[in-house]
Amino acid sequence: VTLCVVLLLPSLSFLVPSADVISTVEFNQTGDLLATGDRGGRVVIFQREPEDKGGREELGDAGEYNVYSTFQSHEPDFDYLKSLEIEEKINKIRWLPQQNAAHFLLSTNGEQNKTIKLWKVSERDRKPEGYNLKDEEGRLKDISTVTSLQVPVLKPADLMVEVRPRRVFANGHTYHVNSISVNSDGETYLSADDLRINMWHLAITDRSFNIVDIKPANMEDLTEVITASEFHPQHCHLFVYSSSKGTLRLCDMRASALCDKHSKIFEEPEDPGNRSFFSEIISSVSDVKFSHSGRYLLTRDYLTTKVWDLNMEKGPIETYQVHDYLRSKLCSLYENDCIFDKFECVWNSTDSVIMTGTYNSFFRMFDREAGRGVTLEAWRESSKPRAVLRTRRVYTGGRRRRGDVGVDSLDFTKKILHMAWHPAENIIAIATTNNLYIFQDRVHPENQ
Amino acid sequence: MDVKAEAKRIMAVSISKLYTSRTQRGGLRLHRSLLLSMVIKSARDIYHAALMSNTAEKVVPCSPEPETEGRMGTSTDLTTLPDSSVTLSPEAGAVKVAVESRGRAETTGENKENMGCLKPVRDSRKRPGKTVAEPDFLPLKKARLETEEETLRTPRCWRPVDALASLPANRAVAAY
Repeated sequence: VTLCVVLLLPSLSFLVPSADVISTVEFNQTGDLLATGDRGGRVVIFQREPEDKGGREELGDAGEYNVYSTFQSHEPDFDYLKSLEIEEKINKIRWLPQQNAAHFLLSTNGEQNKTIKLWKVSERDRKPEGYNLKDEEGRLKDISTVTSLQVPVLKPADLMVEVRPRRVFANGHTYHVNSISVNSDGETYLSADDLRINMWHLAITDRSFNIVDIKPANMEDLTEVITASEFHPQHCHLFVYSSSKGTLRLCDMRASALCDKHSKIFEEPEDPGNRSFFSEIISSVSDVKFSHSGRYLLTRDYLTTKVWDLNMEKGPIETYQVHDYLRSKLCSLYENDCIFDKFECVWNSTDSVIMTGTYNSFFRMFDREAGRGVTLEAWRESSKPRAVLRTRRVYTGGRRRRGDVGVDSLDFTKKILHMAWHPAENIIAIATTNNLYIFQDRVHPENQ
Repeated sequence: MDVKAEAKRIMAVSISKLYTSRTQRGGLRLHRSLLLSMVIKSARDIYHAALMSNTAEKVVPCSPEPETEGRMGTSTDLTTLPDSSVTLSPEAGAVKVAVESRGRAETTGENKENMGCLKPVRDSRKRPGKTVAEPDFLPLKKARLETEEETLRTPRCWRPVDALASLPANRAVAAY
């Protein structure tokens, strides 16, 4: 898989570092819109310029993403009861399938007891004119001057993108919300926190169904928490959730109202040779994603990413080492907190390639058919906006090649946690600390 | 000895992380606290295993408890976590550490059920004859290190997990 850099899109206000750290990236179902959430509670939506079919793709902005709308989703808040600051960082954004001209997205700020919001993004390119009682500036007319009636008409106006909050789903969670997932039925969605998963109806904000509750009667007995959850892409009754112990549980909502009892549990027995102080931390699953086909699951833990077949519970069918050279460095990664980093993982549109991030602004892509992985770097080469992404390598022994990076020279502050892959084409969005990179494959734009 | 020092250091780092996570913006994070408590438990168990294998030759088993014997019989490979050490009521002990630190934060929150967890810790403190070494891996106790090591090596029929489990919890509470 080769990718050409077509567009490098630095974040607009990267002069404001802390509020601007990108915390989530998500394409909509067509890939024409790309939403990012940041730590300041802001959402920025990018829109893809329509591609020019006249063969002029190499020039101009055709096929590239530009800012479409920006809005403040969550404000910083304070919980007076618990004397806690509530972080406004956007944890997750999910688009709803498009049903009319408007676009809808769900955003959550993830923090304790806080809200999930449904936003309507609509375009307005017309303005009504010719009111009978109001003049052009909206002031009331003197009635005596009105001598005839006219029907107001819509006249073209400058395009305006309006974003309005349509629903606020509040007070559904006591613990930190880590996932939201829209159901294939288009009517419901789930939200998961550390101990519970709730199912909501998009039209009902004051109630939700609790479908998973793993809170023990005595908190002393707590041994695992929920780390991620997702609905099956086709079956509206199935969902999966991952745990801090590295297990995956597939639940069927037809079986019972409360899905504490899983239908299937996927876990890999631990390799006793790899036991260390930090075995529990590195086995915690940070992300789980269904394949587009619905047949496979992709999970990410600290050192590896794994593909599971829904038909086989006893272990993953493929395991890819993301950065195994860190296995001997777990102690220092624990001290500097990097071991708690939660990396995301994504599938490409045909489920043949998987991708995840690592440190030093590197990200990894694994070709499942070939069984090979490649390391790429998200870096802005200002002199060459369009260039082929070179593969990088972390030196772990053997013959050292030019350009290899030593393990001790890796920059652990430059981590790629969040990313997204276009649903149909070879376009990826990679978020570094406060830059968003969009890479497009011009050689193989569509997947064969 | 290296493993013991490593375990001590990791426990100290973990406890300070638990402490600072309380003051972090956004409040206590359950997942992170759980993972930290698991590391503390792992480190403590490995520390114990190292301690047990060091004292294996010196201990004269005076009606030894079956679990202790079992533990000493396992491999002396200190880098791996002996399975039997897990069976020696680590859950109660380990989770006490975790819950103490979490319980503290959560009692200010919505989980009133955690108020009850403070009791067992106090009881074990008062248990006669069990007031053995305070953990020697915490910097504040450095001055008493010499005598503590000696008392630890003295063979006696006590359940080291309980004694050491209660004290770090107290220490964690004191740190708050």
